[in-house]
Amino acid sequence: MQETGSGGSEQHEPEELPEFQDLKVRGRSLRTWGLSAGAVLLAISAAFGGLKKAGDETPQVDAGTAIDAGQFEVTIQRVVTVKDLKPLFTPDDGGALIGVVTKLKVTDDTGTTPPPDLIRLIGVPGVKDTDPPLGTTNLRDATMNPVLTPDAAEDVAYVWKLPNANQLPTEIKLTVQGYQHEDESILDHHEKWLPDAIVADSTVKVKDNTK
Amino acid sequence: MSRRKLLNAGLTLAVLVAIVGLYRLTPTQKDIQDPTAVKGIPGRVVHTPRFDLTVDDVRAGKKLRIPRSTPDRDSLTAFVVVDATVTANREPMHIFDVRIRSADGVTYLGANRSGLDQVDLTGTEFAPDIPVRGSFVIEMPTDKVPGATLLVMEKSMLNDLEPQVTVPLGDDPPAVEDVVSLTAASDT
Repeated sequence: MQETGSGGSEQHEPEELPEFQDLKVRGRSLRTWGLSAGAVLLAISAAFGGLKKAGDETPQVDAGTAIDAGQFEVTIQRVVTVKDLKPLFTPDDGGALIGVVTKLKVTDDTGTTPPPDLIRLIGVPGVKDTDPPLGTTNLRDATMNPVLTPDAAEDVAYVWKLPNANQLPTEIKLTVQGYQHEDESILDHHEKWLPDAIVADSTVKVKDNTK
Repeated sequence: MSRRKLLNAGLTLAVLVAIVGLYRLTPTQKDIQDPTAVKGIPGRVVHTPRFDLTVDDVRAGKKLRIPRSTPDRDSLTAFVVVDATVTANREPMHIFDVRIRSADGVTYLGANRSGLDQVDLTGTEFAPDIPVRGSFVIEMPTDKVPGATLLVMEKSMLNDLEPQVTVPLGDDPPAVEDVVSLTAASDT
């Protein structure tokens, strides 16, 4: 006779549990319950847009159209490539500079300087999509990172370096960052504008001013 | 017994009132972060622990003439020039945060036009006990000057509770010249 180490109570086997498919709760199968729960959730979600694609796609905005970026009203005016912008910006040897000229109006009630993350170049050879500009300047008197007056639309250029002056893009894509006003956080009470969603994509022809 | 109940009710009420009262009296986050206003008037010295400031004059112009720099700078609005005298009290220091808040709540920051920091007071290092006369320049519409307030602080960041010189600029609009000239900041 074999010894069983577990007490030998095997004779009274417990009642066999039903298979998962056959499991019933209050007389209805789990499958029915699951489907009903799904239908109810879907019905509730209808209030928030249901199965519609979440979030609108970033609007394509042409140059010359004002874009509402929260803290600013941004109008992309033109994109130019230049040999240099002395004394503020100088490219590397054999390189060039690309400038995105914007009309930038502070719509907030406090003046500020152009935020470096406002514009990003997308898919430009030699510039990563995440690269911040070399800097910003006004066109009026070559002031680096100029203070902007609320409600006065100033011409401001965002400038990047391009590595090769012989391979200049003829058309570029760029994104415009939106900002959201933050009254206070859990930690402090400083009012501030924080980056929110990208508010616009724009495809702009590049004017070649290097020659 | 009923007297005891009355006493209990009274005490409960007193504790509740005390809780609400204390909550109202406790400083909020905003109270312990905002700068501490040090009020002054034009023509009089305003004392703060680290510097003294006197607003001598307020001028305005459509264009700004910066010494040793051409051409005259133009603006979408106007240049408001605040002539002032600053004396550091303890150690060499700079003044980085200058702004004017208009009566309708719009805040204009000190201008940073190219070449301006060579001559204005924000580009000057103040040595202790040596008064320096010069100017702050703010770009703003001149019709917003009446009722506006000049706000001056040493630092522009991490300045919770630091003194902020607050000088009302009066109710009269400044005379607007075609070109307002700056004089480079210098010891008096």
